[in-house]
Amino acid sequence: MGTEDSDKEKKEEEVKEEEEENDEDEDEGGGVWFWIILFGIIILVIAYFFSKGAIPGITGNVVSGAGVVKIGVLAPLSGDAATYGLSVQKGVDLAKRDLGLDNVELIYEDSRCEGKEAVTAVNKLISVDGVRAIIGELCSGATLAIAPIVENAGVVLISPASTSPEITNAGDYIFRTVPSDALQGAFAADLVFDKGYEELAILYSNEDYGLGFSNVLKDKFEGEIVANEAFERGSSDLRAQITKIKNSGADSIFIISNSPDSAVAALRQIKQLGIKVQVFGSEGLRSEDIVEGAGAAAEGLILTSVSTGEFNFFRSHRNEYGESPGPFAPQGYDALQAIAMALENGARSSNQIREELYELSFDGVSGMIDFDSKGDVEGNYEVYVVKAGIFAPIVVYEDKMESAGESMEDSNNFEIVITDVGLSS
Amino acid sequence: MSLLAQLTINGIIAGSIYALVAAGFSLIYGTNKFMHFAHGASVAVSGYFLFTLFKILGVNFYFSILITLFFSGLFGFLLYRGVYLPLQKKNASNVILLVASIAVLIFFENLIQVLFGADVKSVGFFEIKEGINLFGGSITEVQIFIFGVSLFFLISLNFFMKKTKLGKSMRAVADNKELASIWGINPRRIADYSFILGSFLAGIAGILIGIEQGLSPGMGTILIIKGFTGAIIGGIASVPAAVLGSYVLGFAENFGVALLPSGYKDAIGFLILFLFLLFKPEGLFGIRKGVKDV
Repeated sequence: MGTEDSDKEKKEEEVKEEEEENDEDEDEGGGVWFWIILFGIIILVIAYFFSKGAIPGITGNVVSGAGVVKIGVLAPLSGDAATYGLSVQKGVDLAKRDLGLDNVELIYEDSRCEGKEAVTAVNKLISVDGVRAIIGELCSGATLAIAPIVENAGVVLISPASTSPEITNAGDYIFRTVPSDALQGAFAADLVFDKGYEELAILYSNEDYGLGFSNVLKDKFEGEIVANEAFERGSSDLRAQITKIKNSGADSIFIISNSPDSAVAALRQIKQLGIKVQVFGSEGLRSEDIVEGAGAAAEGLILTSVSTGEFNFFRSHRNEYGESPGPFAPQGYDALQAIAMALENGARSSNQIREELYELSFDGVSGMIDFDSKGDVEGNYEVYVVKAGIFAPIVVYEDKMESAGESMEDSNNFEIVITDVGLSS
Repeated sequence: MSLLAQLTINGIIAGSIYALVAAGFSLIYGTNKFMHFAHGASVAVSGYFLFTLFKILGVNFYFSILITLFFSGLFGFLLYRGVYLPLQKKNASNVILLVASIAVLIFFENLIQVLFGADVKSVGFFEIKEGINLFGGSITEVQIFIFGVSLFFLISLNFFMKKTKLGKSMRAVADNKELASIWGINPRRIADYSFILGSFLAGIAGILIGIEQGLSPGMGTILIIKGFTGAIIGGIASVPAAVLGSYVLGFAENFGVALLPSGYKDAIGFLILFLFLLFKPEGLFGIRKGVKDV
């Protein structure tokens, strides 16, 4: 539109404005700016009051002096997986404080659980900040995306949450403080079968984590997989998939999700569609937000979970943040602890840290940390059941594996040990 | 057959939600001729506004809804006056307005996360329970309510656009802005009203989604993609067409996965979007050229 046209239009408008009520006059002068500024101020004020104390301080923005080692932390701090990222952040910050790591500077980067964001962030951490080691990413897809980059740059990467079996062979510099789903998938398959279910439907998130886990579960499950349905990470309408599951006549459902949005939607819609079978879930569902969001629909959900941390960690976390540790917080704590121990042993360059890590063996807050030649750890799994809105731990008897074959009637070999661990606040 | 019934019901539920988003989006597009992607932010902000009033401040539920609806209209008005109008005055092209709208969408997504956190929030006024049986499919009372409300408002909107003076003015501006202003219609006022009304519809969508699915910071982005797809399928410049297109999308997604592996659910939506943009950009119910039957 040329200036002539717009001038004409303006004139026309002026004429009309005289005819109509004269409430448009303010626009011609500073009225626009008034609106913009008012809008901006309101938002800033709200943001200020809400965020005061609501967000954990991002540590490590101090000027690095001599002898300070920079460690990058790459996690989804925004986006739908931010629940996990912020939880890990708390664990890592707590480790820095508990262990008095004044010589370590933490640099956080947000990777939104997405491969391309993670690649940008990891390049920045390596070339701009010059970090010696990186803790992250959480989602397996993002970790696999950055693995070749850290491998080329020769920077150590420790993931506190990526459980895909693929990561085992991702590279020499890639470690993790969380066990592979090759183990959890097998554990979950036994758990479901031992509880007496033979026709399992799998509902998994369609990316590296969900695919890796569901493939292992499918291979190891001794019964029949009657449905194997995928959904897009973060999608909140899973009715189509659940309808197919309902139609398959499954006697149990296993949800594999690393998106709280999708997990809540799945639980709600399973209930709404009137499916009454036992629902199981992967450790991605062990978040209080999910239980809160799904409400009554989460009751009776049984979860397999990686370690949720030993009691001292639990207490320290509650004292520091006033809340129980979230998912992967202890694994984040142990990742920084492992790096700190390598530094303590004299490692300075990335290469030295890597060599020290392979030698390490210590009792971390999430269990025994003893990296094998692939940078993986062994791990124990815990089983939880949602009762009255909280996660009640279930102890699985050691001889579960032997007794499983003997009698199917005796499949209920679980016992709830602690129902109240002081969660009420 | 229960699978067929259930898929139909699923399609209706998804379509109703898409339709509410698409209706406001296409109303604003029709009168202003640019893509208001921040419409997704209006939906999310309204949902969280209701959550704040009802869950945090403890205001009466129905009163909260009223205030939220009022707020959503105001929010749209402020967006127009605060973001788009200043740009338009600088003769910004529609592409710049589109980029600005995406910026606003991202801004509010992040603002919501700073204020409320990343986790899923549930308004939780209604209990989550098993649906009632309808022709062998399952549907909850809340879902019937959602369908009813969206149908009611969409029919009212249609009536409003066809029978009232303001509605006719909006259609006149949508058809031909210059001609409408010659006839004494002030396009800027119409733009104001279109943003207020469109965002009011977004407010309804935000409330219903908050009740039915729960709220998360990223919901606006996901919904506007679906609403946009629905609007393109139907015919973006016409509100009834965008609504019908949204139902088509809802059905296509749900019936599509009955035949294909369910991982393709979103791909089906995008495939249809792609095909329409390529072969029938005016949409299923739109008219290629000349006067549109809005």
